[in-house]
Amino acid sequence: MPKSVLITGCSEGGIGNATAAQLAAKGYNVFATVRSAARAGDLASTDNVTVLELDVRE
Amino acid sequence: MIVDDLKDQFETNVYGPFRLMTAIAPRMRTRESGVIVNVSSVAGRVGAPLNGAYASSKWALEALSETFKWELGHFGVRVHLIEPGGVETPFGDNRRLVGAAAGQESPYTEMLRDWEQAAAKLGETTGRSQPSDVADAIVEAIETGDKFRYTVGADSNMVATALKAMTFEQFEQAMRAQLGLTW
Repeated sequence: MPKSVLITGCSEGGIGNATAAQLAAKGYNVFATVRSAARAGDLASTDNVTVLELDVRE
Repeated sequence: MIVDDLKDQFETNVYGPFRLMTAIAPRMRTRESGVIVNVSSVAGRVGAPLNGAYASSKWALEALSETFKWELGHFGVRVHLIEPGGVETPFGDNRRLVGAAAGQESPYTEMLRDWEQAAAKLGETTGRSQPSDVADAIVEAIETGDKFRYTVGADSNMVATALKAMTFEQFEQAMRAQLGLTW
């Protein structure tokens, strides 16, 4: 079973986005959170990635 | 800066990670497995001028991560910190500036200008990391995990090395000389 990983702050151009892409490419089951789903960039159509809307302040 | 600015910064950088860690910790303890990687900053090791909200939030994240490392380590769960310096991200566009940095009249306006010039000059020599460089460190922390702290970038490496070798007073002197500060 692939390992699962939750990554917060995955908007386009940032550290979380790059980390989600790398881990997805390595076969991890990635849950990538963004404050606005519209800003997930390529992650929205990347295999092994589930994009979730989440604000860590709430 | 007013206390509400500080609270907002802590919501994102401290209370957010705290909520996530305490939400996931029970399952990880039960399974005796799991890895938590918190993205701190070189600002989690030094308090630079005019960076009080950000630096104190990252110091708090460092301290929380260190205590969680002890506590969850007992149950087989690993905790790591990533400490990048400058990274090519939209960070600069997303941050909220207050006081002198927001162009308001302030006793700190001149200091801010001097500091930003000095930091920019230093940045020309150390350069900035790419988001993928930080992702590399996060993957290493997850998959290898032989260190608690991972620095990323020449700027962060330099600070970490200096901190290890020097007293605070020596570090301050070295930073002042390096930055060419006259105050």
